[in-house]
Amino acid sequence: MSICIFDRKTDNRCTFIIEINYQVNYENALMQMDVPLEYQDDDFSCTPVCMSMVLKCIKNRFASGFPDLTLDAISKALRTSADEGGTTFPNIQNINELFKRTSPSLEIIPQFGCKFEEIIEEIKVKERPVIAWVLMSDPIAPYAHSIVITDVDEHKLIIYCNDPVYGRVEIPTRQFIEMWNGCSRILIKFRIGEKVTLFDFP
Amino acid sequence: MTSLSTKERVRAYAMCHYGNLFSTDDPVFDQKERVWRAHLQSNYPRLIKNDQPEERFIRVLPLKGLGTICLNENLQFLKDNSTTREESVSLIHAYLNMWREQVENIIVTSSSLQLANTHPARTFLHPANMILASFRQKRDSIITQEELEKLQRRHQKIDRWVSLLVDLKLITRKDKGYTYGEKFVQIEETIKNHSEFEIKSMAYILEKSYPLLKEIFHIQQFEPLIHLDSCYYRPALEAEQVLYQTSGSLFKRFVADYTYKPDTELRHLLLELQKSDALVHKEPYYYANEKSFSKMLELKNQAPSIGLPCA
Repeated sequence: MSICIFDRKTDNRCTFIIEINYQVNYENALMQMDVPLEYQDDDFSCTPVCMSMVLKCIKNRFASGFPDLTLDAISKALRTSADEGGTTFPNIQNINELFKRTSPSLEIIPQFGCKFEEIIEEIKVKERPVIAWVLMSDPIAPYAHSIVITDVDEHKLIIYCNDPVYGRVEIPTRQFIEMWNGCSRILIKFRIGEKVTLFDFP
Repeated sequence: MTSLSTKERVRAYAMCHYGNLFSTDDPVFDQKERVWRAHLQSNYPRLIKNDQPEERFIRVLPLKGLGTICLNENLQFLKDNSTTREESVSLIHAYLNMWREQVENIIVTSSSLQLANTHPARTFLHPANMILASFRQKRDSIITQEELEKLQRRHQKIDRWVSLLVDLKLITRKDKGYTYGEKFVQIEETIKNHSEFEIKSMAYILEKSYPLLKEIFHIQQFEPLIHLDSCYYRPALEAEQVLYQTSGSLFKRFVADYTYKPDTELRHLLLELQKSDALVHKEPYYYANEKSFSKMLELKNQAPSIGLPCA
């Protein structure tokens, strides 16, 4: 089992360290949800990229009306921009405009002040990935970041996630909760088929 | 730059329609949509009651991100584009809960050494203590997987305790089991006897993992102790000064902020806080442990502001 310390050098002064255990990732690959990994290409698109990863993962669960979405379309719906400081919490729900015709229904619900057990419920009970906002440490100043949680090991106390900057990573649950606390315990949940719509009737 | 009258009118509107606790930041004109937008915020007043000297005063808690207020070019309110009053009020409640949780984390981090010395902490941290004590007894011992399975039958969640201790580097994986870790050695170097080791290692676990312990280990026995401690330190942190409180004031706040508990139970918890020096007692008042309190103030100033971030 090899533990690799991953050093991100944003510039010569700062080093950000995340412990990534690639071996465990490989061993747990079958347990984790198959969420395709995507990377962000700019400074501020972490939330749209996370959204894109989850939407690609759940796409096959819809019989009809699921739109073909580009990252640009998602970013536009979320009103993500450098001017806005990335993605704002109130703008997240705007993305639901894109899913009015899906069958079964899809609602994307941003919530803050969530409990850890809600993550367990999304992942283990509902078998859906969930997006969390976390406060990343940085030698200059901490910053808010978006990640997709793909699995939780409740015994080893590890969170598996797709990070649009660092790739597939695992974070000790203790550390994750600290980072999540720093970002108001925000979760973006994906509710499928919980609302009856006209498009459910052919 | 906006004209003073626009700013004033938006603020007056916010105050009249949302409530006197609300104000806004400077409105910005959206050229594309031809509307004025301002973010709702509040300098939320917290009433502080001190028992010695007997005084009441207000300190504000700045709350940002309470919604958006939108007006057209003629400064008429656009209801559909604005956050409703109900939404904004519910955001205030949610932020106050977040603040309460933030304070509890600050308290545990700053007074972990005192809190580790209480009976409820010893009780719930017993599985961790038991694992660490085995390396204190016999330095070269290894806790094997079979041994852990036996322990698991007697102590639920032992696997989680092991994972946590590994994460905290108090123990480490070795061969087919676990042995002491580098943090274990570091703590040992600073102590004179085993009871000091116990307190310091428990304090370290509390300091680094309280939110996790609360959510994953469900520490019902320990939480009321923190809640009562918080009934003293939350107002003190809001006031940014040492307050003097009677047990009656603390119990009243406990029931208002948390849940009903009989005075006998609360008195027992208060005695634990007093014995461990988490709170100092000089009849009839309870007041802050100054060293812990200055750490709390430092952490309060470093904590992210209450509100919703952008990502």
